[in-house]
Amino acid sequence: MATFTWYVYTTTWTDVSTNTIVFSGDASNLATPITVGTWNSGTHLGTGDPGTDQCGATHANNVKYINSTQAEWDVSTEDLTAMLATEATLRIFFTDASSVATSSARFYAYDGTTTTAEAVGIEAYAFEQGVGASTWTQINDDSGNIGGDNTSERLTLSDQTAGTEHNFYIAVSARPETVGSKTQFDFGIALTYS
Amino acid sequence: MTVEDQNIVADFYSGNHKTIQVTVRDGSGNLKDLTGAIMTFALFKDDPRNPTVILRKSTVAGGIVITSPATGEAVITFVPKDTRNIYGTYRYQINVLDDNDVEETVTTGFIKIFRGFAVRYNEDAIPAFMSGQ
Repeated sequence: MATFTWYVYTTTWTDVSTNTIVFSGDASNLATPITVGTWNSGTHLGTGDPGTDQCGATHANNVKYINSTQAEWDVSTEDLTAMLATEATLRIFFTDASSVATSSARFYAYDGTTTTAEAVGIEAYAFEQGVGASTWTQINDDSGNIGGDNTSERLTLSDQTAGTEHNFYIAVSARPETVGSKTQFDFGIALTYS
Repeated sequence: MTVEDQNIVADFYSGNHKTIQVTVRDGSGNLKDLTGAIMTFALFKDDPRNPTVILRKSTVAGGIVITSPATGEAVITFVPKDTRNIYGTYRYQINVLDDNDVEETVTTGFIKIFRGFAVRYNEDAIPAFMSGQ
């Protein structure tokens, strides 16, 4: 049976499990709001919205959008092409008992109910590490009606050749478009395999 | 005895599990005793100038089991990864080295592998959160 497991990187890859990916305005406090129009300064695992922090002593990698080809991580701005797998926001692990190839994989943000509907009140960019990409892809802009699992509104992930284990390393940066809690906000992945 | 043109032109789709049953006969048409024999299978491009081998299987390396040696019967097993990335018409040969070290190509033919379009789909999601001020 095929399964997905989502991870964030602290000092090692940590299973997101039933937790929530929380973007905050502080590297060590998941409860700090983000000023409207500015990008995430912290990424955390929370038990809810935001709940309590489950990162442990070291918080999850934070990747912050700077411009179309650059981001800030490890407190410095770098080209996206320099990103290592362990510097990405997420590792999505897909496994199947038999050796399978993946195709048509995509990563998207949505409202948590309808996969083709954009997340509410946020703008977000995503980037796949390790596949030769060099620019961010905008995956959500509620004010522009962009987001969800729709062509040109999601991050297309590279096809992977046959194997029982597949990893997708993805950096995500997000900012609020309005004041208040953004709870209609999920990340999704979908793919075909054979 | 080489039996030519044992063509397999239906019911073979890329990326599928598949078995091919083989019954080997000797030059007199009798069932060949495969006790102690080594059987090999090769699938290759049907291009005389570029006969690239796509896939090999054997009773030694795996993929072929002699199921009834006394009656010359064997089964060649294909798993999805064998044919996942190929489709079209290919040639094949099956060779037997018997217990007396007599080697013979026992059958040949075409295999038509149809492209598989029915792929599986899977999706997953996790919740995210932020607060704006």
